[in-house]
Amino acid sequence: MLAVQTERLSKVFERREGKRRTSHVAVDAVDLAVDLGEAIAFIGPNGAGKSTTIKMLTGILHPSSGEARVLGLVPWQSRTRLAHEIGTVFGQRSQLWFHLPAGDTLRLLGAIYELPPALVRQRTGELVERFALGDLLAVPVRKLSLGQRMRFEIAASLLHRPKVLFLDEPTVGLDVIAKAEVREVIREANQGGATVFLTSHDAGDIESIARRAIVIDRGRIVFDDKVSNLRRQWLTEKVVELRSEEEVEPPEIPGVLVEKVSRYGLRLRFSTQELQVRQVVGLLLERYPVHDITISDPPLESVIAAIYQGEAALR
Amino acid sequence: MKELRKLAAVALAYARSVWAYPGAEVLRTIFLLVILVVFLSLWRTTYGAMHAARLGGLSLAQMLEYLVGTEAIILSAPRFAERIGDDVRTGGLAVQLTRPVSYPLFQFAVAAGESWPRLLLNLAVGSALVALVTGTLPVSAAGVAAYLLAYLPAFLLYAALFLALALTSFWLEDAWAITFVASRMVMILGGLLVPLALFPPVLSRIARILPLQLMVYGPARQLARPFAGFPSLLLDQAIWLLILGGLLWLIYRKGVQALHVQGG
Repeated sequence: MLAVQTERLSKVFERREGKRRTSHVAVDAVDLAVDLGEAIAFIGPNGAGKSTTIKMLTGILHPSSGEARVLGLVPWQSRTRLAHEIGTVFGQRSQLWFHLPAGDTLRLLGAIYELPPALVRQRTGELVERFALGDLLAVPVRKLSLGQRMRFEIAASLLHRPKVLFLDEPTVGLDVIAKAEVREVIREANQGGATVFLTSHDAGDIESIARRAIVIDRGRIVFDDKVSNLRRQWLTEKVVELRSEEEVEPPEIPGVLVEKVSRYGLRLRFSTQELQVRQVVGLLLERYPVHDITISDPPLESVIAAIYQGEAALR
Repeated sequence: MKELRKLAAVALAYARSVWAYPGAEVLRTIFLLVILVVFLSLWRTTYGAMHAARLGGLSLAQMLEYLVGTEAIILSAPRFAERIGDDVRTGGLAVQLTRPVSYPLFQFAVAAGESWPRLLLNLAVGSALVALVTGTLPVSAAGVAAYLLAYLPAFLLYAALFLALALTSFWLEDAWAITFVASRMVMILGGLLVPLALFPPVLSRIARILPLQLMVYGPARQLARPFAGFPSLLLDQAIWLLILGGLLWLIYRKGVQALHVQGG
């Protein structure tokens, strides 16, 4: 049995604009096959159809056509039954009760998922130990930091031992340390056997959690392969942002594109297939009295756009 | 049974959350006291001006206790429109629908958890004020028992009506205006400030046909006249519960269908 399987899954939204009726294809004949225990990143630009797909896979939305099975169940026909088998984390929507102590929200979720109180205590103990939440059980959710809350969100989603975890932007708004903690927690859940279906705009999430990436754009799957191949094929550029102690003139380094110049700052982009990071950084350090320097991957959306452009070129 | 245990756990959790903001609860109670003090003066003047020992069959102390009963219900009434509107606008509905619990029943349990402790607090504080001011405690144990027994179906009626109205958020996004009008109708025709016995005859007839008086006047009058007309009150409440429950079920079904088709 597959964790998630879809065949030509489609969703068309009908909208009324004044007297005119328009239709918008949000998901267009999507075929997916995700094995039990896999960790996949389901990514794409805003409006690509990610959330609509997840809503169909969790039974909230009915498709316009096509089929889907999650753990062998048709989600929109068996939503309540499926709810016992899946966990969801929506980064921007809490499933915790803000006014209650965090420990009480876990107990309440245990009751909602029909777990015997002894099992809730045992699972809470395990999750508290695994996610280092012991000191926070008595703290009302509203007083937790965002990072602490997200750890609780994920712990809460794991309480009933779901076989599939749907994670929608689980690290949005978190600082670097909290992101690392949340990623670690998700990796552990996956190592414990849970299938992870991750949606994120954060390249760091994708690389540290998923082994496979599925890219959706304009409702269609445009890439489905290992994350390492995604990086090899598409994440071949680096962005360097430099802050100088003196006024800067843009450099002329072959293979380096100057994206932005300000009085004391520069933003450069180059391909790691043509130049090595240490070469570029070395040249910049020689040339400028550097106050600060940041090296980062280009935004994931530009990578996805590149993938989509590549697909378009092939058509 | 499993479903009931689940809902009881939800209600209990929300009952605890009522005390998360003690300042807000104190303010609510002060508001109740202010209202009661104002009406105490108004009714004292009215009874005095009319040289009446009883109005609508109630002594001044009973009238004040009646007011405590109605205000306790209205000030503890659940507010579905804000919560459901928020769920629809923020997409929190998606979180709710992925849980193995019925959304409307969950909302009922939340409302019960929040409303019932507030009702008991309001009733206790209000009765204490009336006793302090009038020097007598006009309410009996039988009156409180009848009030609480009639309050249970009254609460379900109120919740069914206002949940049904709040669920129109599925289409309207904001059902605040419609629930605001309905809540004012409950206050006027439900007998919040004046018992139905003192209404002008035409208005009284209209009020008695509608279910709104079964939510407020019905239980509150039990405080002054324990178990008077009790079976017929319960029967009327049961009939209207079937009607409003059916309406709620229909609106929820249509709303979820719309959600399934067009998204949250």
